[in-house]
Amino acid sequence: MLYVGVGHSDDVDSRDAIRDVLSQCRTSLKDTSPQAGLIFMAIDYDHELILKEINQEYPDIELIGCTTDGEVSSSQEFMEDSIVLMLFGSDDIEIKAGVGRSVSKDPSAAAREAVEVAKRKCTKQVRLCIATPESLTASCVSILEGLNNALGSGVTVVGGSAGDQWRFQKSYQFYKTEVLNDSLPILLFSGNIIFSVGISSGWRPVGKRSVVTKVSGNVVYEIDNRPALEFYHYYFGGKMMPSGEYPLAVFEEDTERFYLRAPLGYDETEGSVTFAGDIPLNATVQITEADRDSILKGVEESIEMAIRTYRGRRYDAAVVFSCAARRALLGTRAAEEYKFLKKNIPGNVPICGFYTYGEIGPLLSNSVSQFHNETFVTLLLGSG
Amino acid sequence: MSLQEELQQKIRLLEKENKRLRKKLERSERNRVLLEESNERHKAMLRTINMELKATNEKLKQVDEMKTNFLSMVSHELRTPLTSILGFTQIIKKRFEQIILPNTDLSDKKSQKAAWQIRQNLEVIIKESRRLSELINDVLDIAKIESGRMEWKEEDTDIKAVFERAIAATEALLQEKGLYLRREYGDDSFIIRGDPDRLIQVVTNLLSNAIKFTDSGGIVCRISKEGDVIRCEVEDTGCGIPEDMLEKVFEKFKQVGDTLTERPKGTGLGLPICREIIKHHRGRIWAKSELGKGSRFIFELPAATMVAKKTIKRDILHRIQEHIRENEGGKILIVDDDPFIRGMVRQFLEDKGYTIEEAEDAKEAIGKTRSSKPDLIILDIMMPGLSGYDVLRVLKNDELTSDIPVLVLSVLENKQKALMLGASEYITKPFDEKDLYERIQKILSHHGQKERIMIIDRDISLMRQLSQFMRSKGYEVIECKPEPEEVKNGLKSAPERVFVDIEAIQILLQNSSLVEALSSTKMVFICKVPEKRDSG
Repeated sequence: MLYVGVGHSDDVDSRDAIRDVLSQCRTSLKDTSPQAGLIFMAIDYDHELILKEINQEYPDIELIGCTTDGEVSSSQEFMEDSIVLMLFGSDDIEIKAGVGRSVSKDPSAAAREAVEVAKRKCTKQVRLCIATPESLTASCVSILEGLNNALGSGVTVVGGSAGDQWRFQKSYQFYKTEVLNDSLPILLFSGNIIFSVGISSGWRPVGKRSVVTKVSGNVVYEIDNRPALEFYHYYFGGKMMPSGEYPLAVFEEDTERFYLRAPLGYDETEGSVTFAGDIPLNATVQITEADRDSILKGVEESIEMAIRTYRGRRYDAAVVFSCAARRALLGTRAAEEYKFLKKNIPGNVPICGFYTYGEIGPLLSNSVSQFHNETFVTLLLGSG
Repeated sequence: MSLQEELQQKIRLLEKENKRLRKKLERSERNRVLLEESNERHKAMLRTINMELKATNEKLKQVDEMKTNFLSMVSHELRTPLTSILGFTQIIKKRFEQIILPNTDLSDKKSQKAAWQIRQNLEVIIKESRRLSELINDVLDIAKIESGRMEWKEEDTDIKAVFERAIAATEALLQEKGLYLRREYGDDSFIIRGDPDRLIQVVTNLLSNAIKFTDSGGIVCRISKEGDVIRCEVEDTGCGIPEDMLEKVFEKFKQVGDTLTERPKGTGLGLPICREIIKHHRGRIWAKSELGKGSRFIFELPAATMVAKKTIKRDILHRIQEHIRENEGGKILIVDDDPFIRGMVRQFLEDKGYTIEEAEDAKEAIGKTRSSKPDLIILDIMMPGLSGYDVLRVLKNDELTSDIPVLVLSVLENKQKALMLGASEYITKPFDEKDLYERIQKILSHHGQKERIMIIDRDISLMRQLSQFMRSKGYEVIECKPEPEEVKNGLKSAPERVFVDIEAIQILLQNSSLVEALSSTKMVFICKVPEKRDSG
């Protein structure tokens, strides 16, 4: 059995906010004591104080999380500048936290470190990993590659990378009582856990196809032998800079399948564009676009896929990771994503989630997890 | 709690709320800017994409034009040598049959076998060349339709006439296989707006497919009207189509059967062209079948809803012209003791739309002439027993047969004798097909001059156009307004056919004496579709 508590508040005072959140969690958890938790917070809160408050209430809780670009929960639906906390308790499921540091220096080593820390505490077969890595200092593709290697096959990785309210300056990750950056916090689920994942975006490629001719990791210097920035200037009519809502579709070799890479920043002097994930040299790329309806359709598809592949009898919780660019494009309709979510997940299931700078999940159930942009990832949880 | 404490708490709460609201305001302002920027990008991007699309479109147009030009060039290049292959093979076949074969000693088994093989081989070359030329035509057709370059006629078309034309075109094939053909449609017209020639192409294709795949039994043609939809069917008792092929037969180059082991029987483009044509007419076409029992091809077209008066006139004229043309093909009796010659002339003339009968000697020739009254006799002179001259003497001395024109086709150069005996034309073997056809036409049109027709219509201008056309065709025309006295007078000159406007006949039918007089004539109705308001 998986016991789940959710709390959510947008009180501007950090102490008042977390106390409100904890009291909501207590009510929904009743007498069970949680062993682990996920926390997603806006960038402006006093994060240290909040983590301390949680630890006071639940000493040594296996807690991870990160800063965001907006939060959702079954308690307060969609909010900005808020704190959302989901707590897990169970007799037959083990949930343990770990962290890897200095991901920008050596993503593989950081991933190994995180897995080792968490795995040391596990006594059962690990099945699922939730990760909330740094997004701005390092390539999430390399982090995920390290994580996949360190966990070995048979473990699904799901999650979202930390955000900073579309400022792209500094994001924070949380591990127990620590406020970190350049880190990789993870939560490993072992034992009797049942889960399924759904992923969908709503973006479609438009315009001409081009080839990436000069690239280093996630920094693209040239497309069709011209500065990468020109590629965006061409579409935006000369003045405007690349933006997260206009990712590139990167086509897998000789197929019509593609994954999305959103631009995070650019360098006007060298004409390069930095993306939220690596792009291979000579990859065929195309600019993409989405409208509000197609974005919301993506939510439905994502949930539908998660429900279709779920093997359990009931859902105990849902955790969602939605791209910050989706929120930006949805504008005043951002709250509708949660409404679609609520409408499509049957029953009174506790839900939490946040707006990320990059999403993690497998495209097909049982396949290796990949790093995505502009997607909506649904994770359904329960026990066997 | 003291009042002051309470007040301080209230102030703290208000300050917090103030801060929260300010934050929300800030945030929503940031979101607004974000969204505005995003909208700007979106607009700019749409402009660029639009530009790209236009450029792509332009390029596609050029490519399409190149494709079309290439296709017509290639097909021309293919057709030229193909014409030579087909033409010379026909000549070789003819020479072989007319010159080599009669002088070959066929009692020798080896020669007999070789002769038979040569004929078979020549047949194959001719058949395959024809198929190749059909294929070129079909490829051109489909390329034209797909690129939107097909020029479509848009006129009121009677589906029944379309069926009749298609049936006439495939009748020879039908007879060859000994299949029956049943028409299950009444006398009503089924009018749609569209291109009659293309629709004839559809029905001809369905019919020849049905004949091709049916070895016994026959074919049923059905037309019915359900609401605003005209439904047409061609049903056969042939081998049928497997369920998984019912849709595929409408795909390009997909034929039922194993193309590795079976020789293809068509171009594989017939049905795809049919589907394109029907689609153009805002209709649909599909197939039903039961293996071993037969197939049914069904197409539905929207019935015509609005007809402009002007087009009625044009269409009627057109349809009457068609009617007359159809009747131009007459019945011809071929008299020759050589089955090869009979077969060849039959094949050639049937292609031209004539109905053919054959007789192998003088006796049969005289009998068949008396019983079936052909419009023309093609007569050989040198026959065992009674000669062609004898036949000519008998026929020209018999009142019943004396007016039937005779064309003598002989190896003998004795034109004077034949003409003196009453023959209309004399051609020596080996003959030129084109020459034969021209002379037959000349005889028959000369012969047709005698026909007198009458036109009854209130619409004077239409009547004038029609009679002008008929006169140009050599008919004698009586024009009549639909007034009993005038019609009675006209009928006195005994017209062989009466073309009467369907509205006019209603007036005339009220006069009982006229009904009797009219019922003894061959009537052709001119049907004008009533004008309706367009529901759209």
